[in-house]
Amino acid sequence: MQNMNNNVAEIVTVNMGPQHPSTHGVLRLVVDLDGETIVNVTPDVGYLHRGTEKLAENRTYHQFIPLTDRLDYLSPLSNNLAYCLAVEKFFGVKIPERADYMRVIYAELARVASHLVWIATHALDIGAMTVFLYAFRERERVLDMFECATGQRMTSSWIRIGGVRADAPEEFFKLAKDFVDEFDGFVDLYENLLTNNRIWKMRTIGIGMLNADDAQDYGTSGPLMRGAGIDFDLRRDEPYCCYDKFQFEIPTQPEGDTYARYKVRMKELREANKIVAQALENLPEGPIMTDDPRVAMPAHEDVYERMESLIRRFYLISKGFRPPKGETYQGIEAPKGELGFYIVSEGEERPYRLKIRAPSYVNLGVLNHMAQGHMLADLVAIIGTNDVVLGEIDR
Amino acid sequence: MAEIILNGNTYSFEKGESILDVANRNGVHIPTLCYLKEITPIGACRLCLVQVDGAKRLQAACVTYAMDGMKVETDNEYIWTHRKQMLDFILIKHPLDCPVCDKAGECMLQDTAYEFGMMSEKVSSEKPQDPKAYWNKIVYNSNLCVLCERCIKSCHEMTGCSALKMEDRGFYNHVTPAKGETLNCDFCGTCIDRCPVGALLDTQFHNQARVWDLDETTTASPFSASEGDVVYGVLDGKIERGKSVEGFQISSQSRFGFNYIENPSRIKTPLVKSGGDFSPKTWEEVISVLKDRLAGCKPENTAMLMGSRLTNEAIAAYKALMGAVGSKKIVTEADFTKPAFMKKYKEKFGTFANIRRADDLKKADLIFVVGADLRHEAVGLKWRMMNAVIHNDCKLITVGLKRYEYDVFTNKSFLADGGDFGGIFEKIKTDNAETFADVREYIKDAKKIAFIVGNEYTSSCPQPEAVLSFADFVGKDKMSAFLVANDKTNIYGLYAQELFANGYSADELIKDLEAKNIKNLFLVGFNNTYTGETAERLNNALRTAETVVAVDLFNDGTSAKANIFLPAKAALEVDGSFVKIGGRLARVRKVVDTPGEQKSDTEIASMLAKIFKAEIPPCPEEIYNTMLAGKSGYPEVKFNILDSCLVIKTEPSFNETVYKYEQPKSGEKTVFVNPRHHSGTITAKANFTFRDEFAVQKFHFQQAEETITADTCESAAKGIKLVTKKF
Repeated sequence: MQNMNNNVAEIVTVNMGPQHPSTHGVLRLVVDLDGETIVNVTPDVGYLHRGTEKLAENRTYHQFIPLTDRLDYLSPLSNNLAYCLAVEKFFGVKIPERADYMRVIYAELARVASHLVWIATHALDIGAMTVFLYAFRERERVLDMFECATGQRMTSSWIRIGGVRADAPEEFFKLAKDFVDEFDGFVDLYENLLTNNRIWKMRTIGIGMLNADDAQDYGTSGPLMRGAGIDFDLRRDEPYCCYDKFQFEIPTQPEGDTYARYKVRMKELREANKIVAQALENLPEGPIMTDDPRVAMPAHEDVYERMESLIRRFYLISKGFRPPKGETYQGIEAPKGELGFYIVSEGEERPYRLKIRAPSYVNLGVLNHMAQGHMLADLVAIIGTNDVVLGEIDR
Repeated sequence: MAEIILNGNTYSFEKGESILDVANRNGVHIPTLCYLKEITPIGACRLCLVQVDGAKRLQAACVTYAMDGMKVETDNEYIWTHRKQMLDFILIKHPLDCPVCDKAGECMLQDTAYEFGMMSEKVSSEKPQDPKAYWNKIVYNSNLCVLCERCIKSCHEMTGCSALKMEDRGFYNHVTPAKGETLNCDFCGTCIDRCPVGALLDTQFHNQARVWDLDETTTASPFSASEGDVVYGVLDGKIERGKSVEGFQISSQSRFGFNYIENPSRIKTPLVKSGGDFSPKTWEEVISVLKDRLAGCKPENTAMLMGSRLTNEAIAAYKALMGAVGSKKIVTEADFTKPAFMKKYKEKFGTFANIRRADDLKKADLIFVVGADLRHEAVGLKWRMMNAVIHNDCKLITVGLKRYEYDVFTNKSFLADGGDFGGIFEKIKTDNAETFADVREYIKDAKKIAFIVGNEYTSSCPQPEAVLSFADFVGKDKMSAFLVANDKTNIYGLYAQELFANGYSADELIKDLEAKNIKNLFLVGFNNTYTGETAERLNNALRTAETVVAVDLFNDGTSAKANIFLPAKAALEVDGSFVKIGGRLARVRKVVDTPGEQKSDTEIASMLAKIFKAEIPPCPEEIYNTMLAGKSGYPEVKFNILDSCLVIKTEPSFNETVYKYEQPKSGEKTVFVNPRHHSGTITAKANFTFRDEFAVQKFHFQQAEETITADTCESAAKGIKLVTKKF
């Protein structure tokens, strides 16, 4: 083995993590180094494994919803959405319009929240601490909106099978309107700080190369794939909810390096904002939960006053509904990539098998490929651009 | 062949079947709420509406006879709209009690409402708020009642008590006790089990646990021999409630009396008596004490008294223990239960087992109840008898020492003054008075005649073979069943293993004891609650033995005379089998763990056998497979497939009974009526705590002592004193 100076190399193995401020969670990396150059990176995952998929086999479909929150905990409402869509596919439930729109608003705001964490931590790892503070200031506003609508900042379990848990109060729409009006300005602020910054460019251009072929071969999805030039987004190409009613662009960059992915995600922030603005403007009136008797949880006020609703709620919670025998899969465009739920049902009230296709898990597989030949300090940038969250990887 | 067309498919049917019967038989689903297979259909809930071609309105399938060529639709939009409307009417007045109602989780109304996909009601309404009615062990909530009448009908047709009735009309319609302010019935709880909603509930289980939290185990009843199996629900190692298996009934003890196993006076460790007092010992210590005291054990000075609480496997194990000692001196409770009568019975039928099954009563045309107060002696037989009377148009003739509560159904009710049952039978055979001539007519018309014989007869009739000879008069071809009312838990297990009339009788044992021949005496599950001279003498004679080893749950009664006491597990805590009335082999399953260091009877027998250098397996499964299967009529199968449906095989004969009627001597006779002839001792132990503060009468768990004579009670026979014995 020969290094850059054509001397015989001596490989040193270094451990990074699981407790490390730059690994974005409890990720352990075993890095083989030749001097400062990375020869091999082996991720060692499982430090956040909670047995979610096995737990699903002993819970009713309704009981599993809070466990989905804790997968990609930076954008919890996205995970709820993916799971509920998969279960609804079993029955062919028709979701009312208002619920669909609310779901889109929540999902896109979750995307904004997730990307804000991404830019904050990515920049912080590379050294730009100011961005962290600004991005988290906006994230606080998003979390305030979530708290206003759902009562929870993070793990809200608000999207339910058949619709949404309850309608959002007036306050939420006011906050949301203010936010979407101002958010573009904030993205401008971040871009001003980073996009033409000499240090930023030197730290990100040419780092972590991933070309289109490799991206497809490795099965990556989301900004990782779009930053390599593949123009594919589930919201446009396999629309779910009512994404086909909105106008938005899918940003792609052909270069396939960290800087490209940075630009893709910054554009996504703006597009998400656009979608939310459109949804707020065209929000229809109506119910926020389907009236399909097989799955619909009755409205809370009705449970206290109507016998049928009480019986229905009692039955659905204590016994749970039973989907027909079969299997289903639904993937959505989560902030990190394609998040999919594959559920096998034996006609019981609990799934027989529930498999979560976590985007970060697949994306992490590309880490070694992207890190070849770079230096240890660049590894931090590469992890950041990969945008992994351990809740999803380990489940 | 009569045919009916359901949803385009043709099915054949028998005359008298309803549309619902045909549909159920062929897997066509019609929802129901008030329908119950065991009783006549009611037609109150109107959920089984179907569309019959030619009829303007929808018909209720459960009460509409199927007719040849009828075209029926059961599943279209029109029908479902109307069914939903019917359910809506029920739900409108149903209070929102699901979160606090015991029935939730097994409520037919909940299940039906969900199945129908009911989303909301058309009109809102104020819910009724009447107070609950507490009837001793049963609580009735009229707000939740859907007026399906299942309880009234099942009490009338399945149990025969007819204790409930409907009262008032319209919105005020509710269920109420038929006589008096509160219920006065068997408290079998059939109405609780059959109620589709939470209107009739078990007061003892009220608000104790949610039904889906209970672990349920089905086991044979540890109380009486004439009832079906019981499903016990256990939460955190404690039994919370008992319920009947679907389609069968259980007695009030099985339903409410299971907490005898938690009685504080239950002995938890072995006890050895020294200086007049019992002191606790460990199992190792007591085994060494036993080794010393049983060292000089010889076959001729060792005897055993066996009780009826033992499972078949325990009986086999103790029999083998005595085999290891080499002694044949085993006397069982069977020796004290109608011994004279059972000897004559064996001479006639060639077996001690009952002739045919208890369920054969249901098909009888004529039933003779001879000297049996069935409510106390074998309540399960009473239910089947009432079933026959109501469903089969069966004639009922009682010959007894008093009139019984089902008097309204009896065709003829004879009082045997002075215990002169024989005289009544002679009159039936020959007397020209109209009432006796009628009986001869019944006998002539009937094809299936069943007999039930009980304690009142065997205690007071001087010639026990009288009723057996009467069976000859009826004729071998007509006699469809002959059942001896004996409700002791496993008395028939004692008969089946050939321990009665084994050559050593109770009299001989008492003689041996009085002559101080018996040095070592085993009292296994034996409690002398019997009356009569033999029982009295036994009680006095027991103290002559040097070493008395008792194996039981409680150490009062006969066990108090022991000097070594070994605590045993109760029937609810072991595996095994019982033989029920009619020869059914019922499977006993372990429901809970023991509260202390008790061991099971089979384990104790195994431990004692080691002292005599013999091997008896401690596990009931092995005992059954090696010692019982295929012998004495026990089914030749593996223990683990026993499921309470197999029967002990018997091949009865029908020998002519030699008998000549003699007028009995005059003078008043005293007859002891023991309420619940089954293991009454454990019922008394269930008495120690009550979860229901509203119990007016503790029924069966606390009985009053009373004496009935013809002077005080007009429904009693003359020349007889009926005395209730307290445990």
